[in-house]
Amino acid sequence: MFSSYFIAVIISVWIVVFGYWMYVRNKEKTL
Amino acid sequence: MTYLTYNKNKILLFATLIIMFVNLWTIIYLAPMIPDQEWAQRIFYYHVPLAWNAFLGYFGVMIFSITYLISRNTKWDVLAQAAAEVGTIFCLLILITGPIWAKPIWGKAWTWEPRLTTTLILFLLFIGYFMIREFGGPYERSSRYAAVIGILASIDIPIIYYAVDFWSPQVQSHPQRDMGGHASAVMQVFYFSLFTFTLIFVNMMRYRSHVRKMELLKLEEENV
Repeated sequence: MFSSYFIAVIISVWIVVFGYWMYVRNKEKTL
Repeated sequence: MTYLTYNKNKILLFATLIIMFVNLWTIIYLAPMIPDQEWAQRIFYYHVPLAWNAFLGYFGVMIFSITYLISRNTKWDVLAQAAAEVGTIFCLLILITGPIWAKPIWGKAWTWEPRLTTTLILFLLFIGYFMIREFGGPYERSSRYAAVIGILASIDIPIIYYAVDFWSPQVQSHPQRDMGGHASAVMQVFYFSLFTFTLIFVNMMRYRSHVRKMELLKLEEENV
């Protein structure tokens, strides 16, 4: 059985890492 | 030329994504269950590699800033800024995942114990670092100020690492530094996770420094 804490960690890590990637990508696009 | 036009960058990113899923799979299916912590213990496989990445980033800031101040070569400043940004992203993630783990294990999300407090201070110091970068005036001056702040802020890293030794054990919630008590199955999954997160770190560093370099080239072209 999954714990909601574990899922929260995975989701937050993915969101922050992916969000930062998109931020850099957006900077690249506006160049 | 965008970052992903280069084949080696594409391959590196693709390999990292696959390894990230494999890592998640090993954490869910291969890691042994530790009876008194259950699922919350598996946050450890994310939390500690995130901390490793943050320290890698901030250590990079210190090295690149020193090199920049000595050589005044913009290349090092670009790397220092990329390392600072990526380090802060991971520091933010430590501050998010830590309390999520602490809630079921310690009973409360945040305690003002030494390691937590010093990590928060490090995060805030680097918020100041970005403010100097943004509002510190002309490029040359702001990057020199930022380099000095980066070096000074990095002094906090060994303090965080040795926080469990510096302060008396009564005020600590974190375990002591030696990890010898863990079973080898735990350590195998842990080292694989460490490797995965280091790969993510390398990807982010390369991408950020590439874009920053392009930005500076564009600025130079505009000024000529």
